[in-house]
Amino acid sequence: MNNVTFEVVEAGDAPVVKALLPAGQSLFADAGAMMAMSPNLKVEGSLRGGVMGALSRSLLRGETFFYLTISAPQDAGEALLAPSTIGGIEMLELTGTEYFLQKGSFLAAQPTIELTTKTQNLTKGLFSGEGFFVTRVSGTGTLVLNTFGSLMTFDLAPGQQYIVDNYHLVAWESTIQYSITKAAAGWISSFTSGEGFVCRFTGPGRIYVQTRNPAAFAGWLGRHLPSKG
Amino acid sequence: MAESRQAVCFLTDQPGSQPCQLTLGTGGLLIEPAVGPAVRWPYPDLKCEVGGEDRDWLMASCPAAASAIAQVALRDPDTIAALAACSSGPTHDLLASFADHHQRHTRRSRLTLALGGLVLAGFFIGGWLLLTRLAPTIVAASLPPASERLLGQLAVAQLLAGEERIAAGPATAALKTITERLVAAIPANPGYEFEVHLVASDQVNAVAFPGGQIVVYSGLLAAAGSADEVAGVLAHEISHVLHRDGLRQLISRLGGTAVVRLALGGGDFAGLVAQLGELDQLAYSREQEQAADGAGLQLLAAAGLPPRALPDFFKRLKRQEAASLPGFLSTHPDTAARIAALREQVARLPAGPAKPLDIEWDAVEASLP
Repeated sequence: MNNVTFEVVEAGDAPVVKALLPAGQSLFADAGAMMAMSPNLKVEGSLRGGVMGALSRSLLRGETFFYLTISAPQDAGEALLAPSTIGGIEMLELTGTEYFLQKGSFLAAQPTIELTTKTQNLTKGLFSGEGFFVTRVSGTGTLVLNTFGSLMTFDLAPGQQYIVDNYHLVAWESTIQYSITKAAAGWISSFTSGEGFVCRFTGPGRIYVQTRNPAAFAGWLGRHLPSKG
Repeated sequence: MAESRQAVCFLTDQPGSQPCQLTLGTGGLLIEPAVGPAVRWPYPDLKCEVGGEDRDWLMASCPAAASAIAQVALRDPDTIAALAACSSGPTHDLLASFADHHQRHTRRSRLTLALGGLVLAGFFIGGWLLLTRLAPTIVAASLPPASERLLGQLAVAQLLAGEERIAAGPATAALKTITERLVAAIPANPGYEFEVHLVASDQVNAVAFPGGQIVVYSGLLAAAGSADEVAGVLAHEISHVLHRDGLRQLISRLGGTAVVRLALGGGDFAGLVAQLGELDQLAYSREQEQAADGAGLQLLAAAGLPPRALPDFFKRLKRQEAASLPGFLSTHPDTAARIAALREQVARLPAGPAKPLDIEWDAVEASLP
């Protein structure tokens, strides 16, 4: 039984998560996420899932090769974990269900959580904005997600549908089915509306959505950077 | 007592999912959510379907019972098998074949992914071929000879900067005589004006630039055994110009837009001209070399000069220096094979009237630095 607890502190635009580790317990987190910690805690890089798992994680999903493992070998301690983007932090309690995560959403988890790679089909790989590979999160325990902007949840009842812009997507429960569709009825409108392709979800299950679009933000930032010269 | 099994419930009046316990009792399926009252769904009233993103969840509901639970999601194979044993009719059939659904879905996804990958790979290879092979040819064909000449002159000026040129004397005169003879024999000259520049250098080399500019190093004349052999090399270089090989190399190197802008007098002139000087280091493709060999032999024959002079010169060079071969010989195709191919082609050429060159080769050799 893992009793590591997570708590969001410094709530606001740039929150961090405080993890309390009882003696003999550990957690794993995105490499580079540690901001501060008790001196008795031990930090190490771990592959999780072996070399092949780490390779698939870094090559296919664009995530870090190593995970950061923080453990409390002797006495209890605390660690502060910070995501790389400005935005919300959300804790998910997994109890028998599982989620698919978009790239870069994982911040930390209890070691009882399993992260594996799932291959998406061709249409979703090309147009979902998530690429051909997404992270499948399963197991029982706490998963900590980070988002760009704040996090919103949508709970879909059986058969209920909802449309989400692909770049705003953070995670979706695996009981949900989704398909890629044009945002508008026609091809031209789909692209002139600035939406292009969107994800149409069919319940039951939960969708996590971030309130800012990283690609749109990168575009905005690019327009404001001084040009070379 | 029946075994209790883990599943996920979706309630009608609460958002989200929550864990629940399933018990396959005698009167039906007993569902106990973590929060809220338990419900029992009779087996004949169960409605089952395959669900989830990977078609690996069994979604069960009971439309007949107005219960607080809307749907139960489960995927443990043992639970599904046990449920199949309790049910009948279409529900039983679906449950019994549940594993196949997931496998079929996975197989189909992988197949479309593999096919899509092949199509994408084809698309990229096609695009690459278009950019590297077709585009230079199209751009080259659309540039008039006058623009090519301008490019060639720029490149030669860049290459010859700091080199010692031989502007007069028996060697320069000999090159002029040979070039005039060969150019007069070109079957259909689209307007190229050929000009040969002689550079004092030990290098055994000759380079053709777009538009008809040819640079010959004096080392090549020193290595040649006769004026006919030099004519063989020049016929080969003239063929590169006529085939626009140098221009295509230039376009591949600089990009079509840059070449067009340069020919029209715009763009980053200094930067592009600096790159033009490297043109002599560009290797022609094996196909371009073979085509220039073949066309060179025909040009020699048409000019009344002995075509065998070209393979003879290659043979002489091969004997003279085994280590490093000059640029126009390249290392490909394999020199021995190339000489053999040239000799074969020479044998097939119809014998025409010979018009020997009026050049004192000894005087040319004596004048070289």
